[in-house]
Amino acid sequence: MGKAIIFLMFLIAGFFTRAYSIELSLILLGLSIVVISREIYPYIVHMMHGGLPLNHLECLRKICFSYSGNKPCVYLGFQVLDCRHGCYDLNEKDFWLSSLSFFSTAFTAGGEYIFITVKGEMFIVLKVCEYEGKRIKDELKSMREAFLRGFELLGCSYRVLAGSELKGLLRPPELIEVKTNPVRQLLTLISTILVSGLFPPLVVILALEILALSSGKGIVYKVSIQNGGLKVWGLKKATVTYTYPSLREIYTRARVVYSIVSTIPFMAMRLKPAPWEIAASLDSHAYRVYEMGTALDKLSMLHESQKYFFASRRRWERREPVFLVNGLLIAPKEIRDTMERMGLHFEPDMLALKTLE
Amino acid sequence: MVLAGDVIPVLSPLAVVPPREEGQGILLGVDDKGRNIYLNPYSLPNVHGVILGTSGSGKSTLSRHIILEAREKGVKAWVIDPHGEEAYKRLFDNSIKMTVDKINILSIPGWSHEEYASELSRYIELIYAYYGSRNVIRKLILRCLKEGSLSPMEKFVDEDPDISRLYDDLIRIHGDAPTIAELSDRDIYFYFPTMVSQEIGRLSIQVLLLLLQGYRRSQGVKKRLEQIIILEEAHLFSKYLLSLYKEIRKWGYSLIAISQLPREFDIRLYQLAGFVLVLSGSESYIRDIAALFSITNDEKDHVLFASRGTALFFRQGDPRPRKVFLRIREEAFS
Repeated sequence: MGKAIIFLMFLIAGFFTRAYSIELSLILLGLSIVVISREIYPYIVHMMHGGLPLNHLECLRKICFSYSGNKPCVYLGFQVLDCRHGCYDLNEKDFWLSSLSFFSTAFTAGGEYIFITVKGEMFIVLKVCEYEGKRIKDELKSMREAFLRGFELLGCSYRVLAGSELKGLLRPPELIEVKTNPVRQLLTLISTILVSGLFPPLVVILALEILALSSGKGIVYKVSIQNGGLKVWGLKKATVTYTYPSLREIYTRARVVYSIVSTIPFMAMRLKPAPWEIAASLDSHAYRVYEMGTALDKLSMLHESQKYFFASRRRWERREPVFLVNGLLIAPKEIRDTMERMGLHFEPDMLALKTLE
Repeated sequence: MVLAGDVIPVLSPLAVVPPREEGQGILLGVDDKGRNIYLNPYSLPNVHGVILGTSGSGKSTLSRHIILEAREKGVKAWVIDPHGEEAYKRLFDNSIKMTVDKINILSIPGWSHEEYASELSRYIELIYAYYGSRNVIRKLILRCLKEGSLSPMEKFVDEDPDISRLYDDLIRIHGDAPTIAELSDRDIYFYFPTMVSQEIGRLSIQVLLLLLQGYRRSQGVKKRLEQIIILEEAHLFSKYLLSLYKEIRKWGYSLIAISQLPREFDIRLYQLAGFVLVLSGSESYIRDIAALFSITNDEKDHVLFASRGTALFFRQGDPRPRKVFLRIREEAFS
């Protein structure tokens, strides 16, 4: 909302200042595009490539690998087959304690973890990127050990995915490969250059096009239109992070997810344990905003600080680990709306497919 | 940035992964996730089962469904039904009206004379309340077996009213044919005339089950399930069922005991059974079930608030009952 207002302010100011100074007007209009560049970038990527480029994925017997820039990445996948208990037969306390101990032990060895849910089936992919082959091997090994320890604690059985299965998950059938059209890319660039000569603020668009082209190594995918009603949604915000939900609330959400999970066509969440500084920033931000709020006597700031205090209390009192998260949902709007009520706000975002990289 | 509690409801395997389900076997229905629920004889330690449900909950309909499903898989079925239901009869080409149609109870493959006489006399003592007469009865049965007829017993009819009663009942059951070997190979519905004393009913069923036990034993160990016996009003044989449940798994047949209330059976029967199917019933009935198995409120509600068509399915080795919405075959309905 804030961004939209700033964009409009720059845009209107750009038009009104035109009579006084053309240069100032053009700068303001250019700035208005800069403000919304993040929002329009996915469309530019789509315009340049006809979809979204994802890293090329090669798979062997049990693992897949790709390159993130020049850094090799290795993926190892598991399917969760069965757990001794679930939210269907546990009470909220037991559900919470088991799940928390899983999240506190299984994801402690660095790397990234991609949770994929396909129509009620659950897969977890371990991902590690390192320059040295030996380090990749060591890190993957320790990730695997920690992860399986967590599984044991949770009482779940699993199987290791074959490379081909893993590839099918990271490049699901909802995605179809698209051939890039170099002629179209060239024509788009030339026309933008020509138009930005006449209207300089479009230089920002040109820069975004070049950025999109440079990030376009790999295979381009788009969501198949045959899957009617499916849309690509990206996780924008966890609206529950700055609250202090009771265990009962968390349990109830889990029960709702359990009841709808078989209807979710595809959901992927990439978790990365947050570095200590980021996790600790919850506290410092809460204090800072509180101090500012009291100094300025601003209720809104005091309220904001309270929200951060909630998150901070969860970290200290309930020992909840902090993660950095990316989310992708390929689903109809109804599922997205349900996830919203679960505290996860998704918006249409083609770039969210990058969660699978 | 998220805290674990934000993603646990969505990413914890405990919130996503349902209990693993069989992909084959006897189809019972679907669970609350819409998955087919099967009774797979080969994934259970034994296929002896118990079906419970109050009157009108659909126990017999479910057992007819199981018979039809089992038949498709090449498994023969016997139904032993003290009441005699037309709906069962329709499913069978062969039916035997016990005490009217005879069976040979003195041809006893798989049993030695002594062993059979001992076993039968033990149950006769219980059924007729002839306490203390077990050895006398045993001796008489032994003589009958040796001579191949009931005539040794006939000699004592005028002397002892208890023997007279027993003889009267046995003569109504016994005939030269068919033998147990002939019966065992067929799908048969055993039933009784409407008015029959409880003693002769229980004696007939007891003899039938003993004969089958011996015959199947004589056929040697079987790897696959060949025959299921559905026993209505099974609580009348609670003690005998215990010994059957312990012994007969390896002989290739299984016994499904049907009754109304969980308390009617010895608790050990539930500990031995490979599966238990609980149909709907009253609140106190469900409380009794909850005393036997750990069930959640959801699971209680599943069988409490539906009068028909729902069941809880317990399997040995899996403490999580499945909430089944039964998918009964059309032909199974009465």
